[in-house]
Amino acid sequence: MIKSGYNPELDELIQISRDGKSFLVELERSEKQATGINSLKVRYNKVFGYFIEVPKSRSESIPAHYVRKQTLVNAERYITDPLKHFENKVLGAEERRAALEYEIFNQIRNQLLAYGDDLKSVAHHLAAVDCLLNLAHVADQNNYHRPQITRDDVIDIKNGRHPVIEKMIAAERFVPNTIQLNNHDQQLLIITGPNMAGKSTVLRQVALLVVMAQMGSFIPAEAARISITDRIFTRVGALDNLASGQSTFMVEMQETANILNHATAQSLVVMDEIGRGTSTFDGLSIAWAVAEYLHDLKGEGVKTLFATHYHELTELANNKPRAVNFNIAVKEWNDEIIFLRKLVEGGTNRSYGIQVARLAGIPAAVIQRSKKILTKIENSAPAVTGLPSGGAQNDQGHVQLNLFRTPEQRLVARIQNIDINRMTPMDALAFLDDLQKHLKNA
Amino acid sequence: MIQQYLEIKQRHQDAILFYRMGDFYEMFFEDAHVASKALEITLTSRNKNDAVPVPMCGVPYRAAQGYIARLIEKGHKVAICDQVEDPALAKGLVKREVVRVITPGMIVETELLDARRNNFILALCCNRSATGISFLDLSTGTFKLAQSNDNTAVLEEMARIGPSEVLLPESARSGSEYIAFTRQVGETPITYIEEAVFSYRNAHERLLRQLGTVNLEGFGCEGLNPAVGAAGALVHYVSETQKHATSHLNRIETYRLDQYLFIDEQSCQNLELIKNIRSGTRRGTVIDILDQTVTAMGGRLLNHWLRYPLMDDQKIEQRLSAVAEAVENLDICQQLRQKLKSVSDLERLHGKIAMGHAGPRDLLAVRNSLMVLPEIRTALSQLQSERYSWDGDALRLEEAEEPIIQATNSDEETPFAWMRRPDSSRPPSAMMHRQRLTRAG
Repeated sequence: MIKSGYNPELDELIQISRDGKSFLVELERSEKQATGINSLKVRYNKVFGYFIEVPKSRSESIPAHYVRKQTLVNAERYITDPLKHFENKVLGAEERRAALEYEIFNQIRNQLLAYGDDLKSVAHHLAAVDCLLNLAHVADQNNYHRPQITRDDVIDIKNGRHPVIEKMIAAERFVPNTIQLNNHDQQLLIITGPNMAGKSTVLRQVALLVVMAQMGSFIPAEAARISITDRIFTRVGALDNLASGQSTFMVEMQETANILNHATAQSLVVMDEIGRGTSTFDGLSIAWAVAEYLHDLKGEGVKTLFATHYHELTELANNKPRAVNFNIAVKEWNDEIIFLRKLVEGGTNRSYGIQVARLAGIPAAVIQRSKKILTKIENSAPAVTGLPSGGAQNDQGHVQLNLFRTPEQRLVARIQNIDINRMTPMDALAFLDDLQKHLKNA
Repeated sequence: MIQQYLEIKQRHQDAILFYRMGDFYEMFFEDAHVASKALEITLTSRNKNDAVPVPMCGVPYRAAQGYIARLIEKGHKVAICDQVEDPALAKGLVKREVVRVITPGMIVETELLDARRNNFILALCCNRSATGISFLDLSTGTFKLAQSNDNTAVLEEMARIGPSEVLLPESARSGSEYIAFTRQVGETPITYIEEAVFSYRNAHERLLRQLGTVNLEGFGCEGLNPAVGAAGALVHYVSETQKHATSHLNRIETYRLDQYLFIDEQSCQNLELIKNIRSGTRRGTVIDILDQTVTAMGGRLLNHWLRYPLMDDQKIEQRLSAVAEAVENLDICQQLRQKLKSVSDLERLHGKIAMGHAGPRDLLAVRNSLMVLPEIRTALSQLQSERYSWDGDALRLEEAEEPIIQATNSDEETPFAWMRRPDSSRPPSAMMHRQRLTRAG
């Protein structure tokens, strides 16, 4: 590793061992000639050092100055004065060379250490350059654009995409979405729509675009204005809260409350189906209360995306000035549904549970039967085909849930609220069976 | 011999003692039981014929690193006890000393670390009004501290840092003020240290000595008592375990928890910024999409940028402008990225050099990285953004190349004659002596 010419002593030591090799070759040649033994070899081993090896059969013909060193089964090994002298010189040189190289190595290391701080700051600089160029490279590859950074409390994203999902569904074209949040008339977005329609993706992509913008990255959107955000909270309602016991649910709600206490008007809150882990009415009341709380927080509210399958929550938009309804568009076509994955203004009152079930692979017989049941329910209870009557607001602006529904309304609510994605076909059958029993009894 | 063993073990109760005997590291007594189970190696015994044989197991000296790595991964600490005099020259029993204690937070071997992630050890200290945290990555020299009176925020910050080891004062074992924090630590190994180490006076003094300064004002942490206590405890722990110079730990950064966009741990998981919820891997995460950095240092920094988004609009604009300029000059951008590929992990190499762990190959890596600096500088000078400007440090460093480039060539195969020797695992005996001097210094 050390260049020749750097240290004269080292060069000399290296020269000695290099010369040594030719010395040995020369020695072997001249001894062969002198003794006439063609099978004579000059060799080295760790225990005995350098020696001349002659086969037993020829050991009578060796000269007198050979000194025997070792006897093997079929060879004799000898040493001579010139070879001994050479050995001392070479082995000494090897040792000295190794020591010297190590010394030089340490010297260089210490020289470098003197520049330690510079090395560190160059490392930091190159790291930052690498990051910035990387972000440029990624922006170019993925068609990202520069966000406009503001402090006007408006998050306005034009045709934004989810950076991860858009890469995963290469075959299908990712449907971009335009969304605006602000602190004066569009602060709490209640987003309804059937399962699998892509509510979660839209929700998360807004949060991700804010994070990316504030880390200094271009973002997957045609254009965007991002008002500097101080906190991002996202909560996803767990499905298994009920199974794992009410206490976990309470803990989670407390944690959520704790975090929400820190939210400001500059924060962004993403709530995805919170409250779904509990029974319908509990879940609805929790979702309703949290949504209201966020809208009214500290008198100014907090920018919130609130996805829910409780259609009752769409009523909030009528009562709260900064709440707006959105839904993920779904097209019905020949009794099937097509997810348009497009966020549009307005609420929905259908969960398309049965169609979603078909997509999820529920057997056709079950689907047929449940459609009949649903039609029957809808016909017998016309009141529920309009806006759901689940949540009503009294004069003080407090939520009052209508717990005294007709049996039909309850059935509709049950069908609307089941999560078919989480059901096995057996569960679905059992559910249908249960519904039927209720209808027969009623 | 067992006498010597027990004396040394006495001082390293909480670690598995690797006791060097010839070509092996041996473990005895309880350590042998624990290690043989964890490493799946044979448990045997010394003095088999005695009434009470001593349980024993061992690993070859040369293969020790892999075994150490496995013990560390399982949350153990390993104290390396070497022969510190030449056995050939020693009279009687060879003198032995613990030369290093390796713990999950005190790893400097690059082979055992994830190049794209920092390996942090975190210390935490509470007083009546506030909680201080400090954390460092010994391999890179990254050293930071923060303080807050909002314990929820501190808990979240601990999760964001994701340390591999946590230092707490003894009182935290029972003290009620620490309960929430010890719960947050979860599975991560905790090391408890005497209370006095965390005291402001001790910590302050130790920190001044480490940073080579007369007060902490320059680092913005003068008077942040619990945070300084935590930082001082880290310095103490480093010197206790490393037993050699750590001159690369010469800066500490003070930051505020509300300085960055705050994303709590649960949100970070929901958004799959760093970790896939289902698989726990990087696949399908934001960092996976965004990270195409070409250096290890860049990879770690990008991770930091994603986890600590800015709130200062000027700084954000600075970055965005730099990115925009690179997007407009894609050929320069790609050309630079190509050159950066040949830059090694200078941050960790610097740490190794400072701690005396650097080998010839490490120096060659530094050398080869320094060789491309002038080209990188030239290419960068074509860009105008502030973030690309090449400052004085870098110019000085180009001077540093001189001696190393003059002295070396890039023969990577066999950098040194002694590495070619049949017993190349150790340098010749004359070197052992020098090596010890370096450690002592």
